[in-house]
Order: sequence, then C-alpha cells, then structure tokens
Amino acid sequence: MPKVKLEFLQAGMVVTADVKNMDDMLLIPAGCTLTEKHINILQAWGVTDAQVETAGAAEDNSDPLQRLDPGVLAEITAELKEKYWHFDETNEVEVAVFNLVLRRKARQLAGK
Amino acid sequence: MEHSLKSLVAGIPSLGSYSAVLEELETVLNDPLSTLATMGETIEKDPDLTARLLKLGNSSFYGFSSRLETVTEAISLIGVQQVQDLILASNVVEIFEGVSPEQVSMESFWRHSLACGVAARLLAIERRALKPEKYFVAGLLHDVGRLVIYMRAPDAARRIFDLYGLKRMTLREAETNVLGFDHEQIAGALLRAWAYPPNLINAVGNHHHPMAVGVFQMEASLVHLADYIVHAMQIGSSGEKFVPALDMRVWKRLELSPDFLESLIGAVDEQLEAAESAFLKPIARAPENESKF
Repeated sequence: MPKVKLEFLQAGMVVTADVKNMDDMLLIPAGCTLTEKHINILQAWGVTDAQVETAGAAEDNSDPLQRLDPGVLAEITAELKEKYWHFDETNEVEVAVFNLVLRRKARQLAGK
Repeated sequence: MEHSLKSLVAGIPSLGSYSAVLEELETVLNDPLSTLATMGETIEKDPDLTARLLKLGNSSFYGFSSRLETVTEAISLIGVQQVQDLILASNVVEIFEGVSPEQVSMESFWRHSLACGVAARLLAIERRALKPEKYFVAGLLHDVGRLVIYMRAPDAARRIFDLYGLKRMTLREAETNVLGFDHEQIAGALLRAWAYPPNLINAVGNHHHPMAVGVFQMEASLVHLADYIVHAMQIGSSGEKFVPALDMRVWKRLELSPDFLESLIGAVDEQLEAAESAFLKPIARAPENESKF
C-alpha cells in the first residue's frame, strides 16, 4: 500500500497500518476510515504520512497506458518527446516525470 | 542595444501599488491595537477580493475541514503574511491587463504561471519550508520578465520570436541574442525596482540556473523544479515551447522522493482549477475600480 503524504490525505481513506506519533503512541489504528478530525490530529502531532488504501484505488490501479490503443500511445509518446530539447533516457527523474505525464495524458484521453 | 534593463522596467507600477486594501492593511498591521477582526474588516471592504480569498480558502488549495465564512477566519487559519501574499498575487494579472502580444495568448501565459506557482507552493509544503505562499508568488511571477518584453518592447518581441522560429535555440537564448539579456534578468531588475525581498528576487531571477550563485538556494530551486514539471505537463506557455533543462544538482539537493512526483502532478491539476477561479476568472460581482473609502 502506498504511503500518502498528510497534504493529500482525505476523509474516507482507509488506513492500512497503525499510525503512531514519534513517541510510538498509537494515533489511528489500522483499518480505520479517516475523518477530517483524524487528519487534524495527524497534523497536530506532526505526522507526515500514512499508509492508506484509497477508495478509488482498485479502479485506478490498472495502468491507463495499457488500456490505450498502441497507435495512440505511440503518437502521444512521440508528441511528448518532441517537447524536450534533449531527453535524457538515463536520468531517472526525467524518465519518471515523462512517464507520469504520459499516464496523465492517457487518463485525459480516456476521460474524454 | 536600443533597450536596457533599466529602461524596460522603469515606471511599471508594483503589485501592491494597485491595491488600496493592501495599503490600508499595512496601516492596520502597524497598529498595536489591531485585532484579526480589524484586519478582516479592512479586507472585506473590497467585495471582489473577499470573494476571491474565500473561494481560495474554501478550495482544495487549503483543504480546511470546515467552511470559511469570513475573511477573519481565513486570516486566522492561513496567516496574516500569507493573506498579504495572496492579495499581492491577485493583483498581478491586473497590472499587465491590456498586454496582448501577438506571439503568446495571455490566457496560456497565466495558466503556465499559476500552475508554476501552485507546483512551487506544493513543493515548498513538501519540503516543510516556511511560508509556502511566498513560493506561490515566486512561481506566479517567474516569467514576468517576458511580459515586460511583450509590453515594453513589442518590436524586440517580434524579432525574438522570428529568431526562435528559425534557429534551434531556446526562447531564452533568442532573448539574449536580441536584447543582450533574458527574461530572468528583466524580472530580477523589475523586482529590484519594486524593492521586493531578496529571496523573491533570487527565486524569480535565477529560476533557470538556481545553482549559479554557487550556493544552494531553496527558493530558486523550487521554482526551477516547478517550472520543469508544469512544462512537462504542458500547462499553458509563456512563449517557450520546450521543456527547460532540469538541473540534477538541484534535484539532489532538494532530497525529494521520486514517489512524491505522482502526488504532486495530481495535486497540481486539482489545485490549478481552484487557483484559476480565484485569480483569473472574474468573480460574479463586478469589481469596483475606484477605492470606496
């Protein structure tokens, strides 16, 4: 399960591992559904993230790129590559951002 | 060269100077008897600004658990300095109203700028930097030097884009070729003329090479990364069509987890909508241009 930063935690998400403060005090037990109050508690204790299973995780887990027509995928990949002066395939950050943006694009196309 | 840095930025009214509210707020802040409520009332004299602040305060930008009803509530939750920064930011579009370069759509320009501000702020929050709103302002202003070119030197702008279209170079290189300096330097000169704090000048004036001064600069680095991300996401454009180079030394110094990038990109999309409706779109009630007090 992914760790989600406090900033992005939302009410309704289900915590999948105990959330403790720095003194190891239990704040929220695993399995608990987050409420706004919980999020405020985490904020107050300076907890930075929590392991959660988001409600929409199941449907979002399938890779939007795999559902895409290969021709369209090749097209948007080429289009995006053209936006770079020199794309460094060995640079993990550039590659990570590129793939995320490509997925975003695929999701946008699917949503249309 | 027919244009100098100084002549280009001379006489452009500073962000704050457009806002009677900011001026009055300054007085209120210097008064030891002021309370949050007096500050709130000062801002609420401007219904347009009030609507924008509450819209932003009640959006995904902040994600407060309860609904903000008054500016006083907003100030107590967001902070005085941050609210001042947001008021400044809401002024920027106004200052450059009427600039309509033939080469760039202003809508696209502001979308890019706002997205960069949103991303810089999110990065600042992730890095636990103090006062994240200041990064929002820095991101929003990062390409303001280009607006100065479009507004003050449309002839040079034309030559810059002609050159940019012909040769394989970045828009920034074309700027230097035509003017002898680039939008970064213009923005630096403008913010210096506006007597802005040095960290904001650095953040905007060095966003393409944040390591240039030899020391690591958090502000410029966050704007640099934010600019790179929103370019890759292709949200609007200030004229440059290509994703700028990412300085990996900056990335390493920021010590961000690559996993964070995914939530960042998602949050930029989500918050940009809120920021756009608070800063760009006209608010239902028509703004009054004249000060009413």
